Amino acid sequence: MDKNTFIVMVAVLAMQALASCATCSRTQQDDFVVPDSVRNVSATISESVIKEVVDNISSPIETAALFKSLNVPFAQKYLATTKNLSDYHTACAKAFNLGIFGADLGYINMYGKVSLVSVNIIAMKSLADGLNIGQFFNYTTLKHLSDNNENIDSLIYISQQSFNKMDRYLRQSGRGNLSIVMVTGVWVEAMYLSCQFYKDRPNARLAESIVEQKLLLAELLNMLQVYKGQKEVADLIGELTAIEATFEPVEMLVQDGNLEEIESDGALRVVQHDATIVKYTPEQLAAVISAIENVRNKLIK
Amino acid sequence: MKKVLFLGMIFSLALVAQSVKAQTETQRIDLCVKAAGDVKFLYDYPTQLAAAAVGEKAPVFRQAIALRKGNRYRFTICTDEESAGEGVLQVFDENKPVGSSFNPETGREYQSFDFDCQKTAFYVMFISFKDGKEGSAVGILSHVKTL
Repeated sequence: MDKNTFIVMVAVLAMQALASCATCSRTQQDDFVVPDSVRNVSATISESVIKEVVDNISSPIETAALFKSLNVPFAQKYLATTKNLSDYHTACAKAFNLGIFGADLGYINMYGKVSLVSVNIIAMKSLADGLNIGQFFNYTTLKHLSDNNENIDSLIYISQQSFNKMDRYLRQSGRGNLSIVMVTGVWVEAMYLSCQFYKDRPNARLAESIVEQKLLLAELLNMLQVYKGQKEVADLIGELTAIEATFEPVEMLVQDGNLEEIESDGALRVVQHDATIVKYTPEQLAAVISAIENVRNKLIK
Repeated sequence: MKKVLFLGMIFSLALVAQSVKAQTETQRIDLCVKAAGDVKFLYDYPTQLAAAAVGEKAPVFRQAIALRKGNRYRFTICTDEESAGEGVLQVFDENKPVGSSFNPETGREYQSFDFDCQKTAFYVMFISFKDGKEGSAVGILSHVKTL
């Protein structure tokens, strides 16, 4: 093999490696026992699946959609202040507050309050740059969409996609701890907003959506436990454990039901008839709300 | 010096190719989001799987997802034009199937299906390709409305 042939081979291999890396990290292949209805084969889903990173643990979209469906008016006063940005020195503080602002952005977007988007995305860009993930935050497009008061759905799409890309990159680049911390920030802020609106206008549906978070908080804590050796994560676990303690008396029971498939005009809708029964007292709910407020207000300082 | 320049050119080409590929993926996601209709986007799952080896199970992409009671979600699957296999998206609640873009009994295929969730829980979404063929597709999770 002469030198030129060797150089060409190295270059070709490098090209292949680069090209494959464009997608390799977003592809999961394994020999997991697949419940594949395509072949009409049922199988058991391993517990380990649930122990993986779970998407959509904290989604501000569903939370804000619930507020809107209950005719809860928009309240700017509950949004996190951006004045403390310069106080977030550590990567953990930056990630947590990026999550806080991410939840606020989802809420702002869902209410179409585009005039508030700019302040929020400037803060998010600053924190994202501080974590070296600013390249995934599509600031320019978000700024353009908000400045021009354009389609709200596009604003939600770009916001959500930017957030997902930052989250995925953190996981892929060996910073899964910051990913979970960021998701925790989103969860805390969405809960905080729910609690404030419940206090303003007590409502059974909103109350239930708050106490049902017991399940999701337990999973968040599970994911954080992986990084409990890191002091800041351990501190965060401590804060969330205080919240978890207030959830402890809340009972959640599930009654299994059938699935109903409804096909109309070629579209399929599956209706789940399981029922979740949540038992809690007003005092227990008040304790949860108080714990959420304490933790959120402490961690955004 | 010429060799260094040559290598530089090759690497530049590779970077351009990667950029074009990434752009294409973005475009495919954008198209699938549009196909999902008038909904609020939550997550995208671009998936590329190899063909099943002889005697082996078909590869799958899987993702655990938290869904909340009282919400209608929409799952959408868009198989890429150049894909050898047809993408299938399935959702399970523990080991119970709660929705699929393909019904093997009727042969019906759905680009999207809605799921009226009445139990806050962790569900698992799978993307695979029919008959274990190689394939590429985009899955989209979106929020339709509060029930």
